[in-house]
Amino acid sequence: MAHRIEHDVERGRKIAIYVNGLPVECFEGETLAVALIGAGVLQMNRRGGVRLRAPYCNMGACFDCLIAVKNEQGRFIRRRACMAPVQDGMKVRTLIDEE
Amino acid sequence: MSETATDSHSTETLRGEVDLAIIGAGPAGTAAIEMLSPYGLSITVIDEQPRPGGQIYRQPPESFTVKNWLKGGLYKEGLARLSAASQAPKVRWRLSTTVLGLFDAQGGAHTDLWINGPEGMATIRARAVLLAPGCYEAPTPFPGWDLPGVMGAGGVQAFVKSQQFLTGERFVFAGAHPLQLIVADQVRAVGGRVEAVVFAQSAWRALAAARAPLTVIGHAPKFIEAAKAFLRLRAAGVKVLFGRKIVAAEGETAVERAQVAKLSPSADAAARQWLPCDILALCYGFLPSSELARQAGAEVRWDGEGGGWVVAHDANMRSTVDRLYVAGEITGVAGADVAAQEGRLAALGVLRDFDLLTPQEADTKRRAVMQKLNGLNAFAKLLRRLSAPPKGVIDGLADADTIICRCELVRRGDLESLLEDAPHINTADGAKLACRVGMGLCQGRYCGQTVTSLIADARNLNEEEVGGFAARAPVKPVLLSDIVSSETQKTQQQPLAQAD
Repeated sequence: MAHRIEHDVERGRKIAIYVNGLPVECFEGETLAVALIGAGVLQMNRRGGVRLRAPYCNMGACFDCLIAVKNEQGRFIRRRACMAPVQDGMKVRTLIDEE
Repeated sequence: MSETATDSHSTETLRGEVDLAIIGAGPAGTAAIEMLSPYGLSITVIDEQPRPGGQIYRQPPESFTVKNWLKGGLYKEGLARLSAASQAPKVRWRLSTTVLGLFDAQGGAHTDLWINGPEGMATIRARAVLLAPGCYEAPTPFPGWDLPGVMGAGGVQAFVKSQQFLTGERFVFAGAHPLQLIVADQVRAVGGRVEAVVFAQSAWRALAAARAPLTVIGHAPKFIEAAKAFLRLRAAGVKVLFGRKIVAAEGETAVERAQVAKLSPSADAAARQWLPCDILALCYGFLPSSELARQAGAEVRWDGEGGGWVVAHDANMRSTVDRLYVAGEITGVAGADVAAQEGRLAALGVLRDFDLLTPQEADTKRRAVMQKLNGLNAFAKLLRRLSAPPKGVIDGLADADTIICRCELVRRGDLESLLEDAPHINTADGAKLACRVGMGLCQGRYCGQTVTSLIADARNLNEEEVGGFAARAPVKPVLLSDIVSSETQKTQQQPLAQAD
């Protein structure tokens, strides 16, 4: 399993986001990629409706970690999970069943 | 958006005008800031990450406290530079911000930067631009390389360094670059199980550093770190294999195993072996992020050893586009130390062109930097030679059924049949129009080199003749909603500078 490194590390405040409707605990400062993979959700979307995708570059270049995040207007918009920081109460959807 | 304590919005005018825009807050960008700071220029630094440092010094989030972060000699100089740059006056840090395009403005007197960040879209107008966007990992298509869990080794490392997070449990590393030893050792140290580190080149080539002149070894703390990592991995019982490659990855919904094979074509297929893993980290080298330079119209040339398309420049790091300076990996991948010195050269170029240094003063300072740079370049050259996979290894990895374009799911066989059926197609852009290769979200970053070299092979042309995909603004995909909301803001608030 993927895991957070504990030794010598103090994280930010513990918060929760919602991934596909389920609460996921994470820490302020983390990226969505870490929150999701830490909760066992590696697959972020399905390219062309066929091939599952997960973070590949972790630096905002490959767009393989695209997911949907609910914005202030209540609409889900696409974001790179490796670049977007978590926010308390954030609602996130993976894009496995749609394209 | 996290900002440094010295952030000052007064450095940009209300219309978003600034003396110098620096794109990329890595080694080159921060070294340039350090050198420029006594001269009073207003500077805006733009980087996609929330904190400066670039990939090599990718900092933990501000809300984290990490004791002994990047401890060790390898990082010391760079961290000092990062700290100096972070405290420099008259610098506005526009972090978590993407530059989407560069445009001539005011009849060629200025450059407009189209940016998208936490405050929405904006345009900054700069008297000069220093482009130091770094590099990204060289993609190497092989069967199963697009399975979840197959990652760049640098991506795995960035999770560890910055987010203090280990992406899996059982790791296999495969490639040709010695960085994979360092990352594998870091992964092992934080509790990851490393099944194997697989090098394409033979052991004797990896050891050839020992025969390099001492002057070169003097610049080689990286070699020493890699050698130490190698010894620690071996002591921990980790297999480090040479002359082998990973030929396939398999798994249901994520990678579960990777197949390792000997390099020689005569090797017995039965000698292939499956290694169990939940992360397969690839480390075949790096490609310059030259897309903004190309979008702006700067001349690039093909430099296979330097990572592909590198940006042409003069001794003062001026590209062929007016007011556009370049530094770091986009002039040829050579590592952080070379990048930092190039950042300083570019800073001197800017100071000279802004008449803040006389040509004589600038040249004297330039010679001092060049002296350092020459030694570092000799080392970088050696490293490139050692970390280049043996000829034909990369090409031989993908079969006809292998996806080469991760976004549009174009397979190698699709491109090859196209080239057979359409003899007039002999450019990357031609292939893109005909079969959608390179048309997806990553905008060809992860298939461009493959497409160019496959066409070059098929047509018996060189890479310059085939060319890369044309780079156009926006150089990264933008949400329509971002554009719409920024348009709304514009009408309600302060008008932003517009491109002519």
